[in-house]
Amino acid sequence: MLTDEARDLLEGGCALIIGLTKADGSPFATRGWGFDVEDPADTARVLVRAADLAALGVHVGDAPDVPIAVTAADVRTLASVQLKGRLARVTPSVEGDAERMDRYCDVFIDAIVEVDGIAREVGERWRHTDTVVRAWIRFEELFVQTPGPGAGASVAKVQG
Amino acid sequence: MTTPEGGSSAAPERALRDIAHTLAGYVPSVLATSSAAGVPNVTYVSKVLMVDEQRVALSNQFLSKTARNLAENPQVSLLVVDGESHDEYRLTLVYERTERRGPVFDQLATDVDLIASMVGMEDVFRLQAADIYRCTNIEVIRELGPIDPPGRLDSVAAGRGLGELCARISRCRDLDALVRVTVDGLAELLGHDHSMLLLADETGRTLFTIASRGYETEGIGSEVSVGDGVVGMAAAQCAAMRVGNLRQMVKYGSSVRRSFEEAGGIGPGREIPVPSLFEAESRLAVPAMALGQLVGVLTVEDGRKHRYTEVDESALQVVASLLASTIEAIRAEERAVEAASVRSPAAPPTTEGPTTHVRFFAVDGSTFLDGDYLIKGVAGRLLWSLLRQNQDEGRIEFTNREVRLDPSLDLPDFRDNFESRLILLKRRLDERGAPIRIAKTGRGRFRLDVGAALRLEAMGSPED
Repeated sequence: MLTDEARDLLEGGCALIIGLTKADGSPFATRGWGFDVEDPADTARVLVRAADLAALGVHVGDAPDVPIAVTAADVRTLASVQLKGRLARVTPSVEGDAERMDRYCDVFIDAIVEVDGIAREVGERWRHTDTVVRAWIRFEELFVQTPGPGAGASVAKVQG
Repeated sequence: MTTPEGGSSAAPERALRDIAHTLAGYVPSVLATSSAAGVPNVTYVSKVLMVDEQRVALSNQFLSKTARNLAENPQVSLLVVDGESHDEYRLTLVYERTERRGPVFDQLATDVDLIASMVGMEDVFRLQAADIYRCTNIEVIRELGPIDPPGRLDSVAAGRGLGELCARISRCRDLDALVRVTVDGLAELLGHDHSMLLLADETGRTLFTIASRGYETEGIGSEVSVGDGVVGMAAAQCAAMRVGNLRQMVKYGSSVRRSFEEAGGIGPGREIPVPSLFEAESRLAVPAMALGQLVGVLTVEDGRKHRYTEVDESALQVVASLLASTIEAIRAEERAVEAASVRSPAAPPTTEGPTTHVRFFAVDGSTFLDGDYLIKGVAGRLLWSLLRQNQDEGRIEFTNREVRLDPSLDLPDFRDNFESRLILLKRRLDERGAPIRIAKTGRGRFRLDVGAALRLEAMGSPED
């Protein structure tokens, strides 16, 4: 379902923001720390702080099957897409995930340091060592989210 | 703090006023909403404004999905990041109402208008509404403490510098000295190494640079249209404009512009460059007003983000106000001087050395020296008039009063700004190192110094 362009954006060092809904119906915003499309290509995993999901009552081993939205924005151009789907399951991080998060932070911080003209040490404040977990997403629909009159337009939808 | 349902919630870890500086929008905020069916939507908002101790307003430009969700579910989760420290907070909000007029709307609209003016989208990119939310909780996500950017003045140092600068301005007796003392003093006393003073032209639609400091060239005579960019908006709204993340704003505006172009809303057009002579991140522009009228705009800029604070803004407003009043006083005094026309002995034109070719285009007053653009408009017509009298009659001494009456200058009857144009011309000739100079010889008097042989050529139009 993902276009090559959208996949490159999601898997790169874009700003990854995530929307979820708590059991009481209230929305919850958080961030992602590395996104990888899986095989089959309509699933992906995103690294999320364990504490954020715990605040929603979702823990490692759960299969909540609740709606999730992930917006990826190119720091340099603000070109953005929003992926909507289901949070299928949550699994613990595995060997290599810490390095994956570091690689994500490297590219993301490089971009904000370059674009926003901030000192590297200020950009490094984004990097954290909190425990992350793997949030597995099943895609349903992809939207344009670039600021402007086209924001919200559907790009692709999983059939069936 | 009370929840929307009326029950009590846990006390927030922070109050809105504690994180007010974080809401400046230097880093885009993240807004999550959910539909009645629990489907979330997550997007960025460009501006969050603190309305009171319990409420914030969010700018609403393109948030159609968000608006639909809010109609079903008024709860919102908002991530805000401090532009300096990059501390991050999660706000729990409840939507209360939408405003399409009033002070909150106007304040948010100014920010949107500023972005629109930077990328030439004033006609299509406007604030749709200001959505008002009550904050029920603030959660600290990351709080590593403040970063104190270098170069900022504290209020004591700013007050001391401001006092000295005002004293220096008060001692100025003419416009030329006034503008020079102002930009020099801003650097020496208040640490503003890059500054510009622009004056409003006779039409009130354009500002022209009469002095600057800290740039490769002074840019005397360069123009900004009222309403364009930070400087033009300060003039249009007669209000101070303070921006600490110019590149972020231009990036956002450019992205929106591309989106409009792709949607066919506007054709590709000029992208108005931010009026700057270097890579500025922070810009502060304040209107210089006297007697309720806009006299000009005083602006400072810096390559660092978030350079300017309320202390800088207040200090610059004092300087600009005193400057405007002094300019008006000088203009009034110059007009009041009853200097008789001086008929100086005819001075023989200089014939030795290389000849300077002066080309003048009557259609807009644009004037070129040896093929290089010098000046246009009233200042160009003024120079041409003086040079003609010098060549035809050998005159070198003039009074403001007689020159002002020259119909070829096409000055308006009211608020003709003659003195400003004369000083603009003088400073432009000085900047260029031209062989033609203007020197003040007394109140309401000046001398034309011609140090080269001249060849004057009047052209019908710039295309000739």
